[in-house]
Amino acid sequence: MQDMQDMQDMQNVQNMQNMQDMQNMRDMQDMQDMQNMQNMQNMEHKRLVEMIEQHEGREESLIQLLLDLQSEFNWISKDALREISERMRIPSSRIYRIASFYEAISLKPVGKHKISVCMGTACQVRGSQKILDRTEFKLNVGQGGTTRDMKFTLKRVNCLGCCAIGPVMVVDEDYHGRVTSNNVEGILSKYD
Amino acid sequence: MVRLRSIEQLQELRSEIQSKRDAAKPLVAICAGTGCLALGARSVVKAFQDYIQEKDLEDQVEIKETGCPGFCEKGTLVVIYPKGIYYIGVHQEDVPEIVEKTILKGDLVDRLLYRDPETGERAVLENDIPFYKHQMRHLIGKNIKIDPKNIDDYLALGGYSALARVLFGMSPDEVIDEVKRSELRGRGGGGFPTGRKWESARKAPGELKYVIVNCDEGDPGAFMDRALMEGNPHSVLEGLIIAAYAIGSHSGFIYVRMEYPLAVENAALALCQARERGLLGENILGTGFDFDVTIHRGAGSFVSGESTALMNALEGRVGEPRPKYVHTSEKGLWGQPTVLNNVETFANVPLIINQGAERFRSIGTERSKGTKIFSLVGKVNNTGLVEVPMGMSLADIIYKIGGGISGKKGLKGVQTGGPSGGIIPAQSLDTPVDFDELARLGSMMGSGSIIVIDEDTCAVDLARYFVDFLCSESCGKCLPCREGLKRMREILDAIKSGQGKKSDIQTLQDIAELMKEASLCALGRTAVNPVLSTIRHFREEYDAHIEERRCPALSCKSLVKYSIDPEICIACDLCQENCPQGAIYKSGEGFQVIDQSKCIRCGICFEICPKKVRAIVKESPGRA
Repeated sequence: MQDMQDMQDMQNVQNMQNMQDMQNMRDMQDMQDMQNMQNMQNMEHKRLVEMIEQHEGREESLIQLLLDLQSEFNWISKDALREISERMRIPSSRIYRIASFYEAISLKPVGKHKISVCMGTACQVRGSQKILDRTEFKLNVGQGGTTRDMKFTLKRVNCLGCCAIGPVMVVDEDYHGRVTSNNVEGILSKYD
Repeated sequence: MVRLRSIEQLQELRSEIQSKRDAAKPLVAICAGTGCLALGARSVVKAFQDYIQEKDLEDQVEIKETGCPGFCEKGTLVVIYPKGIYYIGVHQEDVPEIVEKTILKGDLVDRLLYRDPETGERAVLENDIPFYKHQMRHLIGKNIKIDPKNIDDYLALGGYSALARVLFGMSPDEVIDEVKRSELRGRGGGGFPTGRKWESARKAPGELKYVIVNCDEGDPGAFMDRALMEGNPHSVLEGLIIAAYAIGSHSGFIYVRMEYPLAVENAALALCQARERGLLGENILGTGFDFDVTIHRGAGSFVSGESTALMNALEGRVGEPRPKYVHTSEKGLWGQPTVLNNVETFANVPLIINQGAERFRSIGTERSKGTKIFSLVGKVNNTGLVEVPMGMSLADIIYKIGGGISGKKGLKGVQTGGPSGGIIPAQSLDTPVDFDELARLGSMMGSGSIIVIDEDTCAVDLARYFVDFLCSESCGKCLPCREGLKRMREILDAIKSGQGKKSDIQTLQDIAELMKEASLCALGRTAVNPVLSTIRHFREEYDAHIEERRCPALSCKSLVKYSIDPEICIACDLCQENCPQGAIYKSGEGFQVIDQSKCIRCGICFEICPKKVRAIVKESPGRA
């Protein structure tokens, strides 16, 4: 598992244009982290506690709680993990293991718009790799990365189940079917 | 809403719903499945609502957002009842014309009808369209008639009558016996006899028993479970309640992947409505049988669709498989006897109860009975979901229903069974599709994806794609799968980049043999199929990569070369402007040239070169 993540990280590094970019990005994310934490302490904290309480005492609904938090806050911070651990009485190592195992849960802040490029087989044979390449190029981020202005986070997903109209790209909740590498830019320009 | 307390009340309610519906009243059924929604179904619905309101026709025309009937290629699909006129590719601008002409005057809007690309013959009704004509649509046929958000639609079409028949007239053993006699086999991929699974769970000791719907449809290229769960959730729920009654369970789960938000929503709504009607919860239909269902969203993990891994996930753990010598029908969720079946398996159950096992068994082949929904996708003209009797040949599915290969390239083969399946070459297309025949060809049924590939797809690249997919989805618990996949990916990467050795094929086969024998769960055991089947059927492509350093499909980046034909190039600068590497420059003589040392072979220039010009040459010259 750890090894796999390393591999993925490596890939991200390669995708970055250079190491400097990467460093800038980390700084950005650290800043964002701090900012997020401050916000958390106020309004979001209350909501977080509220949501945890709905699942309290039921260890089996931990994944459901994490999913709820993910859709509410877009990511799950260290503080949130700690809060869950204390309130649900589950070791934080276990929560971290689960949160890092499942693709849908993000431990890093994500951009304003989430882009998923479908890399399922049907999209793949219709050229989704080119769509992904073009999107990475246009946004200057690798898969799993977030643009410096925190506007877009790019992810590849395995299958969205709209195979008949592939290649498919989803931005937030909008499904774009029959995408060609030439209209990627047009799609991205609809979001600001 | 009144909770139903008896079979009579259910029948009364059904008659009441049916009597309120006027079969002659115009009804606009608009597909609101994920496919059509991606193509703009929401705006079509809105346009109909607005126009009908504007024209003051609300009392005369009904609008219904329905489940997915399968012909996603031609969305947005709109059917105008009572006649059943089938419009394809509808956009919001077409709406006023449809209302004025078809609904008010009964005329046809010619351009929205399906037209046979070869004969030019138009099709008016669903069954005139070749895509539907050759299907046997027992499971998804009702989708276009049902608003999945309204239980009354399902009831009006005879829904929950199988449940009533079971609760009021059959013992659990009789139900199991009926399912066994139907010879229904699990539709999730394994093909295990459903009746036998239920029987061992019923016989297993224990007070608490569980039933689970597996809607963690992770196979890339398969979306039949999504269409059923989104489009007709009550049919799945009815099958689930019957299974619960048969094995003596009072608690069930629907496990849906979160990538299917609409399926989660519609399933949740179905549970609420069934509860309100007394079809779920305590004292179902007044019989004293209690059963309730919880929805669990999958958090994006392919391996969690494996039955034991799914149970771990339901318990709130990491979704890793458990050792398989423990049978889940005896020790499953929380160590209790558990029945887990696929969405489509459960959807078949009400049919079997209503029509009888004999009728079900009369369809299909010797050892695979009934119909199967396939997702027909890739390089085929009519993509979408097709439901056919087991045993139809791949050629019939692709040519009669799918309308043949799209694009100008020739057919190379079909990929079935997702990452666990294999590739079947074009010359074996006469194979009847059932569980055993596909396995004989080194592939498998899997959940039923049929991905048509043409000569643009490289066999080595496709094998690498699946190995890479499984590499990132392998949970890492057992060594053969964790390490074997990585080593296979390394070797395939080498072959793809022209670094392959002659001994690589043997090494791949050796690793595959080991993984098949020693992996913990089906993910690892079947992960070798894409590699082995491509070696078996497309050996010459591997050889071309290894010996000649050439990719015949022009797909492997390291082995292709782009250049510009100076005779054709019009020096329009498009490629130069869009080249991410700045590898294209204008030569003094008025045409563009690619600097091969800078080129990363992304193919953007090839895509962007105007179709009328086509000056970019893509080739795989090979080298010794």
